[in-house]
Amino acid sequence: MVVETVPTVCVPATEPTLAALTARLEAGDPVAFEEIFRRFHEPLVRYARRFTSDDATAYDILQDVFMRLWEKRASLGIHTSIQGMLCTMVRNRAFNLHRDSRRVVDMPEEMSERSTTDALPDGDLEFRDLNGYIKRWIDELPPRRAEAFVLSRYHGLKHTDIASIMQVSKRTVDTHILLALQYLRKRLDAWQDGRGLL
Amino acid sequence: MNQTYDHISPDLDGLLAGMPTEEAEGLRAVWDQIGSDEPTDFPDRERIARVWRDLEAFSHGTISHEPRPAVRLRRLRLVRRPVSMALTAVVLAGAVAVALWIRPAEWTAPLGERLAVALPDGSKVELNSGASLHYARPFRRSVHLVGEAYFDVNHNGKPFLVHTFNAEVQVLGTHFNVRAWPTDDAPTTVVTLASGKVSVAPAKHLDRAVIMTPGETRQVVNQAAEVAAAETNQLDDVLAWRHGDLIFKNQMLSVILKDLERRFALRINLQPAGLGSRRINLAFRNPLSAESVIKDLCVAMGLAYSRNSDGYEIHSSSGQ
Repeated sequence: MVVETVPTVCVPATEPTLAALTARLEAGDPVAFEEIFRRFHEPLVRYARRFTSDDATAYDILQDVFMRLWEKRASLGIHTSIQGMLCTMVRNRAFNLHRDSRRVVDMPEEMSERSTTDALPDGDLEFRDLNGYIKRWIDELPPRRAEAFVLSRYHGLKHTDIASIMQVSKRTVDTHILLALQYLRKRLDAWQDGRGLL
Repeated sequence: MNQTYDHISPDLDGLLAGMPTEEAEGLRAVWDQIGSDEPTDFPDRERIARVWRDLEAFSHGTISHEPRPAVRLRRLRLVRRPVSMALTAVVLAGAVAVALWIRPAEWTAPLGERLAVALPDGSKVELNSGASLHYARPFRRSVHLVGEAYFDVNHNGKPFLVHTFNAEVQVLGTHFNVRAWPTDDAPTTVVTLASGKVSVAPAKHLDRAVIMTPGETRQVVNQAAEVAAAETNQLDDVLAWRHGDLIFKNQMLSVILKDLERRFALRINLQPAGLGSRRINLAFRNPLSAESVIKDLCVAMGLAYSRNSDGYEIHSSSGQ
């Protein structure tokens, strides 16, 4: 029998919120797991790379962290943001690896002596554009300052989340971010002046 | 003052508020110029894709409550001690053998959840809430399905059979959806083919099999002796359940409510039951509660609902 007028209920498609994704993950939805991986794998593997001496280990850490996320999904008790939790897992995993392999981690706390002028090899293609310079300048920051800054700028995390990931106080994070910005401003100004002269 | 800079974090905003305006503006500009995408060519997409393939096998291709799937072996790469590696490998191999031996041949997706099952031949099945699948051991590419499932069948030259309460689907390596709830009003087996080739036959008249082409939907209604004529359906709509969506086209209310019951693990009582034969179109993106669906359903159909101890009761609107 053909129905002449069928009423229609329709709710528009929206990107699921992180809270909804987290809830679905906890309920064991593999699709939510995939979506979380899709959204976060790139920043996370980059973050992991900060703590490893080679690329392969960073991929291993990423895989390991997501396996744990899936295995322990029901018991994770994700109170804060899932991003923050994933960053913490990456960090812990990286440090455990260092501990297990008994390799000394080279993580100096203080910024080393550096010239503030641009002294780049002429043929250095990688650093020709602004993005290349920014990457280089961030790498020039003390590692923990760079870490805090990257988590804030490129992972979009709140300072309290960063503080709990890095196990420092929020005030320390505030300071790191401000000092990083001030350093980058100095570098950026010098770069722009240099270009202005060309 | 700060409206020109997007994505400034509220934390940073707070810090800058305490600074001289000029200094603060300068730092905002730096924040903006630094950009929101990390400037690096790491990682390599191809390697990320490999990481995902392993994870996918791990999350989709194994049973959610099976604690030690074989894919876990990859984690050993992180342990760089030969002796413990060898030992763990032996123990794991034993564990996998035992796990394979005692693995049940019947799977049921709990109400309110979905379940991904990997079959011994490498084929994958996703079960919708409340659906169950079983096969006889040893596995000979023949399974029995009650409810709805999406099949991703491995092609290995041998046919794969899906039996429902009233139909049989024969397959050679393909992707398709089967919906066969024997408890629905006018129970029907609905087969929708995504890719490849399958044949469908009524269980009692296997000689009347019809061959389906991709994009086609075929039904075997109740105890009918023939497979119904082909229809074309939006494939995305048929497979919506795999992503937690609810999409029905011109479907009986009673059938939709049964789906909701399984999906949200509750009971929905319809008063009078005759309302169940009314039809409706419905599309919900991943609804988080049954109530959000029921509420809109009732508005659209001029019905009313109330909560009770184990779910909901839907009835004719009292005003009419």
